[in-house]
Amino acid sequence: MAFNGWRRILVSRLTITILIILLLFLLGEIIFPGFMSLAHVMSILRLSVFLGIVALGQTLVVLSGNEGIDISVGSVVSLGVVVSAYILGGENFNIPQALVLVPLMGFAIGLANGAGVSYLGIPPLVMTFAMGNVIEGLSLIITKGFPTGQAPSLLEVIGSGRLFGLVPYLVLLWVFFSVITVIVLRKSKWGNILYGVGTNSLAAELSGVVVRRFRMYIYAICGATSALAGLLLLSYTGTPYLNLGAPYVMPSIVAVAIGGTSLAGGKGNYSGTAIGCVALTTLNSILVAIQATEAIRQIVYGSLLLALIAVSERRGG
Amino acid sequence: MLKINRYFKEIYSSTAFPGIIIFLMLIAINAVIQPGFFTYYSFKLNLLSFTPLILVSIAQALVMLVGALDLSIGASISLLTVFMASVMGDSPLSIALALILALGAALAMSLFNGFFISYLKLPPFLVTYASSAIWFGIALYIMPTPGGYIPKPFYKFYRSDFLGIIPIPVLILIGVGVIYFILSRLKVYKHMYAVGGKEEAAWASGIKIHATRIKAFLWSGVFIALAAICLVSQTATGDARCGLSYTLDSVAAAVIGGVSFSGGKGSLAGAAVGGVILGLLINILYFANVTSFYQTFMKGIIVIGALVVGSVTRMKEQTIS
Amino acid sequence: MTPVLEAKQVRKKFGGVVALADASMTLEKGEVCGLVGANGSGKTTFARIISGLIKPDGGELYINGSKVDLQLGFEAEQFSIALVHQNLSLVPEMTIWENINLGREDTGRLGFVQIDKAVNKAHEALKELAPHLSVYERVKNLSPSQKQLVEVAKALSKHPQILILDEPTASLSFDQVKRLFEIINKLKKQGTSIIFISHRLPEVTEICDRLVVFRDGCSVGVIEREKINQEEVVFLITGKRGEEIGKVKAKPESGETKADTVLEMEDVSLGDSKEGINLQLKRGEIVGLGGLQGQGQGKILLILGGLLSPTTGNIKIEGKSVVIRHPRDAIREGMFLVPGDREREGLFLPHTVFFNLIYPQFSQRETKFFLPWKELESEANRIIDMVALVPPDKNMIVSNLSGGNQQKVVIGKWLAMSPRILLLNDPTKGVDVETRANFYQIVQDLAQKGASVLFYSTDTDELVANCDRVLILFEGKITQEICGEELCKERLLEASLRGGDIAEN
Repeated sequence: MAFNGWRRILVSRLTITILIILLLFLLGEIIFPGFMSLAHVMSILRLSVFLGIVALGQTLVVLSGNEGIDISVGSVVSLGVVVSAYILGGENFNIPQALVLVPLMGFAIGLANGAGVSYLGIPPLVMTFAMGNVIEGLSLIITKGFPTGQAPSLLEVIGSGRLFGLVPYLVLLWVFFSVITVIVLRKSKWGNILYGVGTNSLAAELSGVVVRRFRMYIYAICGATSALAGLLLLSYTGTPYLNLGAPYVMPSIVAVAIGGTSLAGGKGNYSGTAIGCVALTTLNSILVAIQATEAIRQIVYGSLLLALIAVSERRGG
Repeated sequence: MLKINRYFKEIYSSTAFPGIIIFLMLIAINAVIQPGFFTYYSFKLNLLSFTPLILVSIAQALVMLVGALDLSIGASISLLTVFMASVMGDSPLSIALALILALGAALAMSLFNGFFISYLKLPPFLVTYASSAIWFGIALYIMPTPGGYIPKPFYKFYRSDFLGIIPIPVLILIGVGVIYFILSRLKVYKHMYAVGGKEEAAWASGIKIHATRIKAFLWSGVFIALAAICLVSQTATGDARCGLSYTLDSVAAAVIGGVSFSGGKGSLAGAAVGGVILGLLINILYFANVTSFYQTFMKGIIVIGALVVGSVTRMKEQTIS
Repeated sequence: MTPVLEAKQVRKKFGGVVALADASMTLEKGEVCGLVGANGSGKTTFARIISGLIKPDGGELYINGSKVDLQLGFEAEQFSIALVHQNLSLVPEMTIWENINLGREDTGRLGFVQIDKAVNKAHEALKELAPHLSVYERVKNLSPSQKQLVEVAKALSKHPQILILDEPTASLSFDQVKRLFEIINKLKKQGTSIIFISHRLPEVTEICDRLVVFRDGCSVGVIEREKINQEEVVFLITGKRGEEIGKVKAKPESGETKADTVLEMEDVSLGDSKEGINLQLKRGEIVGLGGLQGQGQGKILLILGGLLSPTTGNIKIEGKSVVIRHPRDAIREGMFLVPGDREREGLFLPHTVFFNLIYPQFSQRETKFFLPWKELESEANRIIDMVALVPPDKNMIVSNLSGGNQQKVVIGKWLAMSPRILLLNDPTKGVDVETRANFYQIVQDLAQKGASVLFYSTDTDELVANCDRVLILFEGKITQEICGEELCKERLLEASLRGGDIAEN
């Protein structure tokens, strides 16, 4: 397969996705005047943040090759919500504690995923699926079905507040993370090592990279970002609920795919994924806004997804 | 004599071998935990719930053999139960109609997936995820809440015994065995392994790649239809959500049974064993009086455990580099 | 007499790259016609077109006088053509007999595959080529040369009238090539017509009745048997006369200077053979690892390169004992492995030349977190010059380079890291004459500057041309050392074959 000028294709795919987003917004505006107002656009962007952070970790995992994927992100997010609430207990002075412990917890879970994938050779799909079940069960066990705790006031401000009354703090945070991620991926040692590992892990190994260890850490980072997403989700909702993370699993993978990252690994960047997240969130918002029944929502979502995938992820012949 | 030796060697080195060991272990555990495990009654009870699982595992394995994956199995089954529950009435004609409809719909859905995956070369993971949303939506549209009608004779039949002794599920499984016997001796079966194992080798050998993949999907559809029929006999309703757990269970079962994700490796028999193992696992959780909170947790832990065992065995026999 | 096969003006482009511009040839019944040419000259593409695997952009094909519509696409079977690829058509997980019958399974009543018949067919086909191989063995467990033989057996089992062999001897040992040639001669007598594509000029000279030379996608000349000589062929292939290519120079006198021992292996073994490996490598030396294929040469390199861990023994670099458990450890000592399977082991095909050349530096501790792009770029350009990369464009995607240039990238990436010891694992397999000369030049220059080289090759000429001395391996042990005036092809072959029974791979 010759990937001559794959950057060019990537750029045009990005443009297509952005166009789709614009189209969706126009559609929304037609149905609900005011949909495209700055305030509402910002709201949708804020909603995209959670998917965006989850998809960040997912992007890294997919880039790492070996058919990398992480299906446990949903339950790690859920656990993140619940554990954050518990640690915070509504008190501001617990925030530093939570900021350290929650991602750390996610890191540890990811480490376990990575160890299974890298050192035991378990296919990522299966390993993370099983782990997802375990973590889902864990959430239930430690909360006994009734999550306790609460987001403290400061955190809620970050979650719901806006800079200058317009730009949500969460969005700013996300932009910050996105920029760092894109730069690190493209310009740093680690990012470039990752691309090699994802493209041809044997060649990477022969070039001195300890591939198993490296991949394991990638999964660990994904776990950390998912848990962090849970913490941020809590800042938005205020009170914890169970299973808040479940709706983010598949969309995170779809966002990665339509954002131009090959599911085989080694190619792509986070910028595409981020835009993909916005597109998916916008689509979902419209469907919810028109109060379509779940049945219609599912059918439309599925069909549009298929179309998007058909357009963006043509495997080489 | 040599042939027997070779046969045993094949079993030992086959991908399903770790699964077989686990299978034997689980039978032992179940025997301990479930009261009267070896009685006829519980044997039959187990069979009733295992059969759809076994069928679904085989369906998934078929698709995995050609290098794809089907995440829409659960939604397909749900949709099929909805169809059947909507169409079936008391008349034998309507029953026959419903069954034919189910088979036809299953084949159509498989064709749909196969088209996007093989001809358009889209990633199976994403395609079947999208199609599962579509099937789910359609099922919800037709039947927003579980309902429909399954005539009593029909579902009673599933739970009854043939000639008073042999449970119907056993007959079904024997039927499955027959289908397997036929399928495994067809040319297209070997071609599936080639297409999944090394596509360019299949191409260079003159095999029609797309046709083979589509056939794999179609055969998978047959098993999905059978699973839906069993399920609808068990629950006697059509339910848009009843099949949900079967998707990931089918993948887990196939993997436990030694079927490889990359394709071309593993056997349908292994997948069936994997299905039984999963069933036994679920059984253990139920009879050990594990609270529902712990069930998902334990299921996950056990699957990881099975994977670890499987991979350690695999690593032992692997030569370096 | 109508030729069995006649191709006229075949053209093919892949994307923007012209693979074939104007290729023609005729094949007479019962003859062996050789196709020779550099990498990228279009031989393989041509072979695939005339066997119906690919459709060309233009051209005509006649089989036994009747025209074949190339645009319609055809099955090679229809015209009794069989193509033997480079290990292209075997499924690793399946057994030999399944592979040989793949795509042409005999079915009896009810459409069931007839296993006994299939196994017999496979057995018949295999027994002359590899008599000690069981058809129940799985292909993934076979050595590369065995796989090649199975490929040939598969083609032979079709009893074709036209047999096309594409680089069939690349992985074969001396013995196996002999056996193959015997079979080819027998087929000739039976009336089979054969097209023999190869890089190995001596072989081509021996077995072919006629040669068709390809260059840059065109068939540029036909040489009849009597007129075949290597210089003429090389001229047609490269368009240049021998001296211009920069023939491999004899090593300049390194003299009697006592160079220090740079690498020492003491009693190193993997636990499988009783004796360990003992060898020393001095600074500036090029030491060859010879012997029949698969006698353990590769294993030595993999151990030194960090991919295999020895169970016993000591490895010393410049007198200091080192433990090598991972390529990282080897790289830290300045010892680099240049792999033989460049696509699988040495390259990131979808990425640029730049990325590939710079990659090993990413994992070095000294490299800064945010990479110094300017420095890296100039370094990459420097290397591109050094290896004479064609085209000299660091932004070129590696998969678009020819095989020879890809190999230059593979060795190039180590040049930036001041190699102390270079481990070459059969690096020029499938690489054309001109690039090989480039390659040898690079290696010899490095040695002159003080690097030491351990050179494993299945090509005895290559060993003779480059090495100061050659160690002969047999069944994992070093049996002889050949140096100085004794270092010539015949002596190497003789030494390889001695040392016990002739090894059947």
